[in-house]
Amino acid sequence: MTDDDRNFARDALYVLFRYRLRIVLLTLTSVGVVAAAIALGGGTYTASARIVVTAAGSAGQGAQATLVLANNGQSARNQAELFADPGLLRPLLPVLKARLQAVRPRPAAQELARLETWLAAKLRVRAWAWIWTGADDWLVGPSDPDEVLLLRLRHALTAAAIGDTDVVALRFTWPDADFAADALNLMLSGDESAVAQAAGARLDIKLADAALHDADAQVQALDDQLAFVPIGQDAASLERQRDRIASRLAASRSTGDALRVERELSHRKLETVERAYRSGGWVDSPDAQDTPAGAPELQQTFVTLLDKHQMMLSHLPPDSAKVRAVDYQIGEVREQNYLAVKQVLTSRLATLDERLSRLNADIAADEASARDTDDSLVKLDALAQSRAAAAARAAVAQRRYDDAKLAVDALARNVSGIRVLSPAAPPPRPDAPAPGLLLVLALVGGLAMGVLSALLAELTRRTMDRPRDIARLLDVEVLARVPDLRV
Amino acid sequence: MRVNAGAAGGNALLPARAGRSSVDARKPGAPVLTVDGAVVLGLARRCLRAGRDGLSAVGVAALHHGDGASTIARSVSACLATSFGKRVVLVEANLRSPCLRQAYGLADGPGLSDVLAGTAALEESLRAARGFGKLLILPASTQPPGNPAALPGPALRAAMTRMYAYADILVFDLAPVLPYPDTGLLCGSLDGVALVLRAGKSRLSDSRRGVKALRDEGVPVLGAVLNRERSFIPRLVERMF
Repeated sequence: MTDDDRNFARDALYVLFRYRLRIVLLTLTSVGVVAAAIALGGGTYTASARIVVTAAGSAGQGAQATLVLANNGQSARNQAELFADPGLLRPLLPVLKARLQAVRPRPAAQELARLETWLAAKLRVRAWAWIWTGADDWLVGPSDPDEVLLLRLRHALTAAAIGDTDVVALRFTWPDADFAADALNLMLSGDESAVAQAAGARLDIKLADAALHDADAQVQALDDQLAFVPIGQDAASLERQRDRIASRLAASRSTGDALRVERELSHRKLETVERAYRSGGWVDSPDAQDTPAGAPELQQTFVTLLDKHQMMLSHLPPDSAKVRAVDYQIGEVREQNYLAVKQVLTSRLATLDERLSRLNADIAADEASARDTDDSLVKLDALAQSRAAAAARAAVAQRRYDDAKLAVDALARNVSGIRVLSPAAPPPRPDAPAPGLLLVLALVGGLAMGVLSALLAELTRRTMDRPRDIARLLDVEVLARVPDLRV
Repeated sequence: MRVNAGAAGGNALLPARAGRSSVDARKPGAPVLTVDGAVVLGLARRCLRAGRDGLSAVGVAALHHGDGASTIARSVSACLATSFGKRVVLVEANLRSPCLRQAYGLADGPGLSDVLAGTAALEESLRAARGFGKLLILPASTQPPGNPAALPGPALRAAMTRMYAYADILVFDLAPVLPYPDTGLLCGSLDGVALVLRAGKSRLSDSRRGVKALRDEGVPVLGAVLNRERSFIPRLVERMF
């Protein structure tokens, strides 16, 4: 803490302690005044009641009492504050007077005077908040003192509740808790018949409306799915695709059968050639198309060598060297012919195997495509069926909604009244600001005024009380400070 | 160090209490008010610096009666005599409301007025204050009080010259500045004046008038003594700073 801070703190403490009596007195005075005001005023009490309002056909004609929305941040349609034109409420005064004499020991005239004053003040404050009833006119009109006020009040409430509002919270404020509750209940007492029926019909409207909304939403969602199917994935395309795949599969399968027959034939030819070779004879090609190149020349060579061998056997022994040489040449030519024929047949078999393999792969792919196409067709069919079901439900809900609406309208033409769900009870606490809060505010305000007063007194002080006064105002050195130590 | 003071010694006084005051043995039954000498130490040092060649004549004046000038004068005289070992003559130049004789319990006899009028010698008018070192008292006068108009003049200067034979410092207890012209007329003979202000009573305008009056007479204002200063902050809180 610097010297400046220390001096500032000391100055502040000096002011607070020097004028402490003034501060304490102002604080106590402020608290005392507020406490007295609280004790004498007593605050106001707000009784509340919840009612069910039924529609009335005469809403536009007889509703001349007024209803004011409570602007308390909640839904304006579910919170309403009871309020009336003083001219309209004046017929209520005899009723209230009788009630007052029954429930209040104080002279009723004073209470009634306060009631009238309160109504007039309330009207001025709330004049901007007339509600629009949904009928053809505002709920403000010429007063008709001949009508019974309570009936007109119920009409007003009914008119205010036409539509989807069925529970209204009413509030009535009065300086006395018991009287607030009694007056509100008195004003609300009335017809309760046939209200439950209207409320049930209105509930049916809500339920049917919700069901209709759900069904419409489902239909819309399914329509969206059906409308946004990719190109080529619609039912007709899928069916054409399925037919194409089926025909292609049939062709592939017949081709496969032919290839397998041809392969079997080739295989048998190869076995025939092998048997012919093992028998030691000349091997001929089974078909002209399987004849290898050079086969006629080899056969001619073979025949020539055979003739030569026959001639040599005629004049030479069979085991002579020349005869054996010719035999050997005959064997060579024969084997060379056999290998060539076998090569041709083996090559043909390999070709047939490869073609068969490719054909089988194509068949498998086509079969998979056919299955996918079938699945897509099944899904599309299911969607269409779901949409049809949802549309049917929407139609049913629409019928229910229409029926319930007709029922409510019919009741509204015939029923007028309110049903009290929860009657008003005397509020336990005033709805004015809490006394504790007021006292705290008074304490803080009194302290602030005291401190302000002390500051003003210090600033306007014209006596030499502190050494700094001498040094600052007289420009004279302070030689000594003699404390006041009187007892 | 304590200075005894009479009941008429002003308001910046304390009732005698054990450990805080000395007791005038010659008037054991009289109310004795004292001021701790430590609080006027600064004033005493300033008085020592006021003159030349080790000799000085300083006055203590207040704005109004009851502001405590006599008490401060007695306190600083006692402080100079006991703490600094100086030879001090306390001259009661306040002929309007003299109080030193009662404060110190002095017997009747000649005083300043008699010396200035030449009806008494200085030596027989000076009284020793027992218990306060080399402090001598020169009371105002015999009863009734003398003529204040006779204060300034050559007689006073001659008397002051003779007083310096007995003192290093002359302390004048002066009459209030604002109601009377005595102090202004006398100040020409002094090396400086200390102005006593009473906290909570002395107004700013009066204080300015008092300082201006002294300066107009050409006497240096040594400074101010704030008497009866009240500390509103409790000691426990004060210690925190």
